[in-house]
Amino acid sequence: MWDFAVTLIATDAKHYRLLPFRFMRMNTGHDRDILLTSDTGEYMHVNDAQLRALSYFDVQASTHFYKDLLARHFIYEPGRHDPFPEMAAQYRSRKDFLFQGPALHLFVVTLRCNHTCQYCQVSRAPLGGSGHDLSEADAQAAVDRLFESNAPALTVEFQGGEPLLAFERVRQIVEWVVDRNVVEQRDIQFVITTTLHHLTEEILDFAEQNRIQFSTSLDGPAPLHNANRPTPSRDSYERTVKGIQWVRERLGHDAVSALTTLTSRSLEQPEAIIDEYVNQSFSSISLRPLSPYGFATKSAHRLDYPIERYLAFYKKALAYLLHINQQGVYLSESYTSLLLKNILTPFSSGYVDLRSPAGAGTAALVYNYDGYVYPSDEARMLLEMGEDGLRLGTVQQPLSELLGSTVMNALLASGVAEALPGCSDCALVPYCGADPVEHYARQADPIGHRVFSSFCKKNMGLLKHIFGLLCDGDDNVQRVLLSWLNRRSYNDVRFPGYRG
Amino acid sequence: MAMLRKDTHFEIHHLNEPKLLKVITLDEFIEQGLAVCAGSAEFGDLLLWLPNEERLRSPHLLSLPVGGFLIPEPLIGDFDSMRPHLHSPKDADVVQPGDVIAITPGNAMVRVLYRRGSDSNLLFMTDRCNSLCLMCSQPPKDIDDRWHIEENLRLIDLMDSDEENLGISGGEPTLYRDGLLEILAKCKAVLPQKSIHVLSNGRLFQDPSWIAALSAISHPQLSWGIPLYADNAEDHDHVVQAPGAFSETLQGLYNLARANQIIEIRVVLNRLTTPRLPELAHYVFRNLPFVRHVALMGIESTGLARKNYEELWIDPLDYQESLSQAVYFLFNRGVPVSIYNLPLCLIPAHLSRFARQSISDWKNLFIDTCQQCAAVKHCSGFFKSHTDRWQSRGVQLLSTEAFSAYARSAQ
Ligand code: SF4
Ligand code: SF4
Repeated sequence: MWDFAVTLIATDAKHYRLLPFRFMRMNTGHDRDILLTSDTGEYMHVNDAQLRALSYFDVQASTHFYKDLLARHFIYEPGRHDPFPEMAAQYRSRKDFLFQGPALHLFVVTLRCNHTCQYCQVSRAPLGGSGHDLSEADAQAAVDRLFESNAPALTVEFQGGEPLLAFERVRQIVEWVVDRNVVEQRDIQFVITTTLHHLTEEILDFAEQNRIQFSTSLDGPAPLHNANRPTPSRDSYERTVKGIQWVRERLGHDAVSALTTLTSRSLEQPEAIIDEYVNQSFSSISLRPLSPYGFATKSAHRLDYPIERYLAFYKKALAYLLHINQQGVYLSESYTSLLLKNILTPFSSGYVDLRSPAGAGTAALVYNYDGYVYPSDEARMLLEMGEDGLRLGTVQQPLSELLGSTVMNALLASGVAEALPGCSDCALVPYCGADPVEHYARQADPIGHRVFSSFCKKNMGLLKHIFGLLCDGDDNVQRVLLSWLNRRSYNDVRFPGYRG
Repeated sequence: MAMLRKDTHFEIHHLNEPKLLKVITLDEFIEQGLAVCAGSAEFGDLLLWLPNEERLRSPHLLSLPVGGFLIPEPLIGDFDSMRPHLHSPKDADVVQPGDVIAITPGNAMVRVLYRRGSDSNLLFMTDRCNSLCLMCSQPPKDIDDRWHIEENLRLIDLMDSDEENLGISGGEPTLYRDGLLEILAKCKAVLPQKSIHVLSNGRLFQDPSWIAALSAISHPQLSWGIPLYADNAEDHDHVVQAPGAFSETLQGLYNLARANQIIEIRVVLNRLTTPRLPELAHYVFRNLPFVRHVALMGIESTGLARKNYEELWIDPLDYQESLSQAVYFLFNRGVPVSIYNLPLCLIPAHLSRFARQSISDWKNLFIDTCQQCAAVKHCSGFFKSHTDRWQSRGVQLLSTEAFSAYARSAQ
């Protein structure tokens, strides 16, 4: 009798059950300081009392808070509604990229380059160097690998060195791919990553025929850019800007985009870098910290910087971007846009560095000039630094073999963020990713320790900052961020709407 | 503004059995014959549109082998035929050439089942339903009315084949599963140019066998309007008065998505659904990202809604904020969203770009205030069932200046 009563009370008291969730204090200083996130990426900002009530089964049914928890799958009511179909759908949306093989294929057609950038001493060869070009046979095999991927949309990106120094190989590869695609019928995008210094009419004609995009490097105003990118004639900036204009004249304004390399010097001038992008009328800027790979150990000290310095730079830069976007300039920061997609939508950006399971090899493949295949550009640079552990095999092996390689297995075994020490308890894991290559490079261990991980510091810093803006930023800040989310103009996002 | 009814009275003669007839002019009869009907038809399915003047000029027309004759005016002279014929319509505008009408012996009522060129045509499937929504505009009846299936299959044959929107609704059309599937397949075969929109509560789709059935039909222009009234089971089940409905509808929605169907979510705005409307928008976006359109709809003050007035009525002015939050949440995330059935004077100017003239021509109404209003040509107006009790305190004619603010913000 007594037992029976207790059971009854116990069931009554627990009118709901918990679903898996994580939480994190955000140190915002305001009341709703705790971020709750579900496995599938739903989130809520709650206060201490709410978190306590939630975990003690004390949340009153029929309150708004209770319904919010139900609707976002933090709790469920046994016997009333089974939320697993929705949660399964959310998982599927967020991990949708898993249904596709590698979509990004990087062809390192040559290592030769006219620059002598300090941060890139090891992944280039002198202009006249020989034995640094992708052979015809290897290029042909790489095209076979490309089409072995089941991805319906493929990006073929040419890298170097300076790929325009090996333009004949580029032309050949594009032609093979276009030919094959008559039968394959994929959606193919070609991109050439180049300084644009070696553009010719002939190259532009070919680019026009094949709707090739150009991706260039623009580090900021002339003094900064030229200091970062020395050439014998000291005119890297002038030649790149001329190239940008030329591409736009011939192929249209959006045929060229630019990436920024942030050196220690850059971190002092966020506004100047952004102003340069406004002056060149770009619509997006990419403010990524320097990756550790290309360094020669000697110059590492001069060029590398603690991630905290980068985060301070990022916050300043973002504040400035938010400001100028409200003045009617459209300039988005691309990594922020990717994180916004991860946070604000049920989908994943699918971006290689923000995937779990990791994107190295599963999302992208690099065909190196020497005929070896790497899971990422960074893994390739490790080799140039003298590490040879991260190659998947040679371009002559079938894709299934490359993706079944020991290296790939090792990367994936340490590439599921939800299962990594540190990440598995982190409330930000649904929006973050796993980067075993970076951890291997920095800590000589693909799993690595989060406390010493600059990947973690970067993503945690950025995610917390963006969550802060989404929660506390005024309506106009929301409008800018939402305009980046869907690449709409600021004026088109007239009201932010429900903040979620 | 006059609304065009879907029925009127005629004087009907020599009709011995119920009939579905396609109204056709002499010119069409000569030029196209049976090809005027999208599907298979016989001459007996045609009702010749025959004004007095033409008949008196050429009396031999009465020997044409058609199913009957329609005189769209009072009869002049004698009608020399024992074949079915209709004349003296009470409202001469209701039936027009191209339409398909239903008539039954002993009843002067002529129902228009298909109106040529209209986008509000409907295949009515059944009066039955497995829910009992508090605001149901057509309270379900527990009857066996399978005959609708046959009638609709005939109706499809007699329609024009032109590009138009065609609705299928009830009641709950999925209750007659085989009939509905047959109708959808026939729509695809006979009316390939018409886009089909089915209104269903989606509950029965929880049975996964629908996936294969719908995939097999693979209609290229078929969409489903499925209502969702809350982001949680308790609230939704209360509105539809059916425990378990929320779970069933959600599973149904996923099955529809698996069958690659085009899905619209419909929300009727009332006192119960508006308090958590932004949260509902959030729920739809997060859990049903395949949804192609969200329709937020003003309530129709008819049927059960009248009975449940106290529980349902909320002045639209009092949910403007909630509506705006929900609309911009969806719009900013790229989900197409529309506001149906709300007069322009009841929504803020910045929402007017989402407002549609959504009320079918035959049940649309504009009240006295509207007559002088600058917005009247762009406004959804009211349902013909509109009464004072359901009228917002905010209804007011918009001046030309006020309306131009709406027009500006719609750009
Ligand atoms: S890397 Fe850091 S921020 Fe990202 S999930 Fe892991 S612990 Fe969290
Ligand atoms: S007064 Fe004007 S805006 Fe209001 S319902 Fe009538 S026509 Fe529409």
